[in-house]
Amino acid sequence: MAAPATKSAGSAPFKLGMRALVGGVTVIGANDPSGSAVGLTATAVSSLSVEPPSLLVCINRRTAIAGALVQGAAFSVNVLTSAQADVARAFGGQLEITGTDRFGFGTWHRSADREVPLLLGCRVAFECEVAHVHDWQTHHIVIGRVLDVHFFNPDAPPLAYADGEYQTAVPLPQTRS
Amino acid sequence: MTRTQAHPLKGPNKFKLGVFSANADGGLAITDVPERWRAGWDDNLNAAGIADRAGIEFFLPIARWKGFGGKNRVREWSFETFTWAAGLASATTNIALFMTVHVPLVHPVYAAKALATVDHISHGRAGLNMVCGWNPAELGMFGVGVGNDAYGQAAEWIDILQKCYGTNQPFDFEGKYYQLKEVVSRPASLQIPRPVTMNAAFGGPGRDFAAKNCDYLFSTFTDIEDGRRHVEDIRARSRAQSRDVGIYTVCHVVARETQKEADDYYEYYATSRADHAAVDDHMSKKKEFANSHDPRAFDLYRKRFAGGAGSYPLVGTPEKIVDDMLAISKEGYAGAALSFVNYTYDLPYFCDRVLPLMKQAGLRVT
Repeated sequence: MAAPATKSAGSAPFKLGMRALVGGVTVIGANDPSGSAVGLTATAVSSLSVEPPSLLVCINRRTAIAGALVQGAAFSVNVLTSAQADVARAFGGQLEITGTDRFGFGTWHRSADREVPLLLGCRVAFECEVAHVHDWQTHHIVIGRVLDVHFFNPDAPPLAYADGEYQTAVPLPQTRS
Repeated sequence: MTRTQAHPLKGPNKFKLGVFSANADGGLAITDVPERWRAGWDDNLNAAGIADRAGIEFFLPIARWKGFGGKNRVREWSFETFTWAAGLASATTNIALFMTVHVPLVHPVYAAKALATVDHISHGRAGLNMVCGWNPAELGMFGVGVGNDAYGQAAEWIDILQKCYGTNQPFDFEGKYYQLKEVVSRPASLQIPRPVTMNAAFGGPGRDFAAKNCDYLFSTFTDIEDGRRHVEDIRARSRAQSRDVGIYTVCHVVARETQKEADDYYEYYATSRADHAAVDDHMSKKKEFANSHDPRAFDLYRKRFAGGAGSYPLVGTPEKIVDDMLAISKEGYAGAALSFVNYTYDLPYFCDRVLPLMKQAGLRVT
């Protein structure tokens, strides 16, 4: 009996299952085509290759930032600290704050060369250029070539998202060998 | 020298501190004591250096074009605040530097460029204090009257300034007060979407403007216990805008080792050696034209006007001052802008004795 080609787990168990995957929390920053800063909280971010340094970000195509992440555009991936949960909530749409008012949460500066939003005091911010955009159904998979790395606060405890809530990650206790 | 940490006003201290009015003769005081603040450039440089090294969060100037007369023509001498902040930006490293700008006197496109310039010089430490002006004699110097829709104009003004920073194409603006063609302003501010903003409106329309457009609102109160009323009013107005506005107050400070020393000095500079003619002029003008204080303050607190332009007095030992600041914090205030008789004489003692006690009391971590 051949397995149906369209077999799918269904979205509910998928979402439930993905709650178990612990994600580091980032805010993606960019400028929309009019020059206005936009940002979005994202956990779907991954290292892609070291040579050249590149990463990928998955963005729902209905979000405001999707229109900003076109081939050649500059963007930033800001890796949050546990003290920046309010920033994650603001850019995740959990505080009913819209538009550039979201940048009132945290301190955001325009980068020197490309004027992309960088979140000061985050663990690290990757300044990137869109190298390629791959479409998959509802989402864009955005491949970014990393042009600069800003180590703002790399030792601060990280912000993580798991089981539907913000958390932090701590090292395991030392185990005896 | 790229900055790596948050703007000082977004830092970790529960009760943040600023130095207020060091750019103007007398600071906030109206006194004839020989050590009264002359507000020379080196005085400003020294005071800003002390505050910067001590971790005080911000330096806030007043915008004054005309003084209040009296023996010393108090406040007639004051530094313009864009250029003042630009100078201090180069000489300091951490402290936030506000500019206080009269909306009816400064064009928003000019302000956008000047503010962005200071934001770049300071690596993102600039702040904007928008004032509408209340003194007809002062606005008259510019041939401008006190408008009856001052905050309507201010709303267009800040809208234009933000558009300058938030667009990469020339834009037109068609408003009631401004009709502009093909506006561009580069560079944008370093801070996104703009440098932090504040306002000190006391009346309803002003507070609604602040709730919509400002990050911080300064409010005076007559008694600490009365402070919460203002906090609740401002919070309700900012909630209606889905915004969270930080609420600060203004105090004048006399800190001494004993309460008697502090009380005696306060009496000396703010009563027996007050510049009474200037106090009369300032109080009568403020009462007639400025909606900035509780009406009771004018009747009850002549000494507070001589001592610190009607702000709340923090007078006493370091312990007493920290107790007062704890009480102010409990009312919901996030910080205070402080004035002193002589900033360079008084700030070192304040930083050495009061700041450590604030840390012990949980008001500050740095």
